[in-house]
Amino acid sequence: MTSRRLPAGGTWIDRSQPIGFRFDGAEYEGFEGDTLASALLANGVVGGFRSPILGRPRGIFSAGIEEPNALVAVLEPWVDLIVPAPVVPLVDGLVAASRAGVAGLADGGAPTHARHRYRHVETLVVGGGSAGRTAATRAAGNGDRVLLVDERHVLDDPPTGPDVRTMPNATALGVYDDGYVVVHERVRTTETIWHIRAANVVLATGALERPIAFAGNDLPGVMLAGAAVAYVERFGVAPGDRIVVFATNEWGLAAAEILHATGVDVARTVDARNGEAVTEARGEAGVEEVAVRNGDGTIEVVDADLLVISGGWNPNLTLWRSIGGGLRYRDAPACFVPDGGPSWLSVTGSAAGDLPASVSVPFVEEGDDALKFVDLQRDQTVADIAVTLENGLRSVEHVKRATYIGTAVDQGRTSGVLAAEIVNALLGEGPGAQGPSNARPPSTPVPFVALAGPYGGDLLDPIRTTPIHPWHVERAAVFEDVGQWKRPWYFPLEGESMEQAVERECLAVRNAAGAMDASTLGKIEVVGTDAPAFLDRMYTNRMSNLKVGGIRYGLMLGLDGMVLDDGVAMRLAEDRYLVTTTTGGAATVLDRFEEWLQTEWPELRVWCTSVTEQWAVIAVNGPRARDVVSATGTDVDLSREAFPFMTFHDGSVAGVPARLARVSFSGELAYELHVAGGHGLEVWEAVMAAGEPYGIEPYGTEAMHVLRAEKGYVIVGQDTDGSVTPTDLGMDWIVNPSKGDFVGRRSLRRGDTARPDRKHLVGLLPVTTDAQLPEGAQIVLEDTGRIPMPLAGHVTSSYRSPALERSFALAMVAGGHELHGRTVYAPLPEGTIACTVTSPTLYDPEGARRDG
Amino acid sequence: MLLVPCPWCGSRDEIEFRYGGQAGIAYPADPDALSDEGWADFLFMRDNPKGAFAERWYHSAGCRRWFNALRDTATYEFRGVFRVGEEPPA
Amino acid sequence: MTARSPLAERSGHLERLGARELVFLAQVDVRADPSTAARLGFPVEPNTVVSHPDRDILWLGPDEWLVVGHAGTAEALVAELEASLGDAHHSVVDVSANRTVIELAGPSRHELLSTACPIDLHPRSWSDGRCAQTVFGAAQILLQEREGTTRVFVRPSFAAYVVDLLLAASDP
Repeated sequence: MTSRRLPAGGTWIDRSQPIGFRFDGAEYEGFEGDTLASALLANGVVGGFRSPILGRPRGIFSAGIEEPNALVAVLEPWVDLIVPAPVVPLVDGLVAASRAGVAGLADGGAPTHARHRYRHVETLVVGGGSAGRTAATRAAGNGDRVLLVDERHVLDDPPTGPDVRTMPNATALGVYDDGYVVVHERVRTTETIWHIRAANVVLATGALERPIAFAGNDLPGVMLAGAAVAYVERFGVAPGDRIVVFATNEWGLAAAEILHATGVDVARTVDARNGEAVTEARGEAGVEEVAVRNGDGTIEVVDADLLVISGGWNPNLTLWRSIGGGLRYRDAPACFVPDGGPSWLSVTGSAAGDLPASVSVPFVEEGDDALKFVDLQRDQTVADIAVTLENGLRSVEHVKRATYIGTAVDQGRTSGVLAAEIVNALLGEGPGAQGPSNARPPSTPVPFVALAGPYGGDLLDPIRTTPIHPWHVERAAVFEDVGQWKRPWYFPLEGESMEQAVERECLAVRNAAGAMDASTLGKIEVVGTDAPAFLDRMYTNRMSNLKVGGIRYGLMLGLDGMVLDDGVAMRLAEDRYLVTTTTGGAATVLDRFEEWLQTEWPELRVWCTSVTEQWAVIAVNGPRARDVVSATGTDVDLSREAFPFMTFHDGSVAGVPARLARVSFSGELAYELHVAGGHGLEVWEAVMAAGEPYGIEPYGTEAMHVLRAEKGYVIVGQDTDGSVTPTDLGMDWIVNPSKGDFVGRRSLRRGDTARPDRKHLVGLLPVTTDAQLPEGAQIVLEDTGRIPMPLAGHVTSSYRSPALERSFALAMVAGGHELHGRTVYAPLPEGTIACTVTSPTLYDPEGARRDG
Repeated sequence: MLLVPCPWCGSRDEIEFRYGGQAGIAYPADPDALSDEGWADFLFMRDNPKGAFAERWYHSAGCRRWFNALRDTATYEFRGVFRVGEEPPA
Repeated sequence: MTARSPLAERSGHLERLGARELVFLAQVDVRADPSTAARLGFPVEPNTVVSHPDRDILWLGPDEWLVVGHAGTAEALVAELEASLGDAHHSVVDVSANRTVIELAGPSRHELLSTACPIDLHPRSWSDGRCAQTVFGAAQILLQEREGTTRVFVRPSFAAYVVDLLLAASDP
């Protein structure tokens, strides 16, 4: 390959620092400051690329992010699987390969450090050209914190100042509401996503040169004039030996002078303002000759190896448009300029339309329309646009969707406006009649690994654990996710299956004692003279007449009458309650309390405070629970007479201040031990040690589920789904009709809420006692097998009960309260399971085991 | 990512807030007096104007206060904030 | 009593971050009308702190404050606050175990926090005597700038996540 590096020149390169790199398997050399594109050109590589759909030979077309042809994958030292060669900075050890416009997925992990950063500035300037530098300097002079970002790897003459920061290798991916801008910075293998919040955003994003569509315009060796000049001036590279220049404007023609001064032979200039045009570019692997129409209509063929084109300039307004900035057409530069956008966003420089005058020549009449390329990345031509218009489409937006013009990696930077002007011309309308289709973020491709930042693996979401967690881990508990919490699911002994572990845990609770970590439950202190009245309004039952020292279970509804959450309230004093919620409902319930108090009832004298993690909670359940707590050491009288069910006492356990509460979710004698979070682990250890002689076992959420289901206790969110009322659950007893209004009360009187065919909570006992219904199994009333089957309900919970020595389930079934004793059916792929409908309370329905 | 103007904390990222829908929908003084349709209207029906809209916001990850805002639903621009119980700014 | 602090196992990591856990600080959540609190010298300007030798009083909301004192003083603080608030409509709750405190020191602590915290921590907006409830990644936090350090108050169950995120987000 002939070297195209000029003997001198190139403001961006340092000729004293050669850099070796590999491209498509071949070794080359360039200089510090080169891009991959400039280094390839310097080595005589102009072509060597292929179009993605038609596989046509393509070459380097531009010197920037707008490059539609020379797409590469960078493989070392970082991985970027689709990126335009002109924006890849040359670094030691660079290995890259050409790509025909389609990326893949990285094989294994990319050697990338991905960071996120937030930054606040008064002024963000996007673009480090002269207009951007001026804007940054002016803002700095006002005392602003200024950030200037530029997607290129070299910033000429950057502005300076104590609160001024400039950032090359940084692309603004999108501009969002209120000056929020996401910037992607890459320096070698470090990717940073900057979340910028700017009071003012200045877009100095420059302008992109417009191509012209003519037959053969996609050959290697056809290049934008600005690019040819950039390669000469920045990199000291002459992209060709003998050139033709085709321009619609003075600037493009002036490019010929600049190129000529380097020794390039300018064979011909073609001035569209004089009616001249290039009608065809021809060649095998690249441009070899150019057919030119003279002003008098005659055709002349010129030998050339580089055809430099300039159809004018389009302000680069991807970011402006993505936040809703408007456009209007200006005749003189023949382009769309910004018109109307948010007050904090401004555009300056050539991006604002400060551009040379130009005529509008989107395409040349002569020649085969099917060879006049509009979107090089979609291999779409003037003929393709003509066909969509012939088929009746009129809007540029529709043409975009029919042809995919503008939807490739380059997002229409060289094709969007061009396509719009071709549509305007073919429809017989003037230039600017319709503008280009809309742009959307991200403005340039960004790897997922950068967007993910540190939030991968275990950091995808917080993993929350209780103070007792280390004990569970050491005991080799198997955990389940309950929201963000890791809760022990079961505690298998060596070699035990889950079924065996859960059976053992359940039997321990029913026959001896079990300890469960219940610390995740939500807890709220509700304090004030109106606390009783407030809780009466939030729950379906009355809390205002609960005695101090008493505990009451309560149900909370939404305004729509559907069960939202449940828990117990403990009355600590006349004006003070501790309210518990489900694990998943903690934040929701507190937020609801605040919403009602702040927005509807500001006159109520009530304060709420979250104490969810102030208290670790150890639930000791089982007939020996009293013995276990006593052996742990407590100053509280645990006797049945002194400590009735649903009361609590403050005292100490294991030498630590504690609140003891008799609440039971298993139906067995139970004590909940509430201690300050920091003491949770030591008290748990004390309980386990003291309970050993009594056969205590730790038990997890699975055993907890089985035990409560045997008693027919619902779990909000498991047996309910936001569409279930207290009556549906058979819990009319918890709705107090004689107290005043409460949240959800009116909805319980709706006609729909009172329908008899609503789904009701029932127990299901499979006729074959060890047949296990899957949770979610659908229930039908008849076993005819006729399809379609009218659905009567579904299974919400299903377990094997060690106490009953059989399987059982809870389900929501239409009209279920009236179906007790009937047989219903669960059709399943492996066969239909017949079940008897029962009350959900299967074990100890009289509650005789409660007091031990 | 909107910048939401909390009347106490100043402007903070939208991620710290929860949106609360239309402002000024008071809980009915006498729910029992409403028909099922009237009650459903209160529960579910909300205005959806293009332009200025009085809406509620909750600074859930900040000061945990509810407040109201007048915001343009087309441009997303906040035109003003006002406290619970106050009238929207003109 | 062998109470355990939430980040007891993470002191090595915290050191790497130029941080340490302040264990078992007394923390009391006080709610009262703003006029009542103003009488007691509580901060009324949002997101500011009033500091005394034995306690800091952090503004959490127009009617909510966090009183932070030395370890072991929670019970006394609760009693004292109950007495001073007297008959005024108020709530005083010991929340000493509801948050733990990570103290960040060093000149790069604000940049470290800015890896996942969206508020403006530049000296123009953030200085000694300020506090703010905000987020750090997916965790809610309370920040306090105090004598050249930054205190991060966080729920114990989110504390490990905050430390892990600080480690992952800082430079290798």
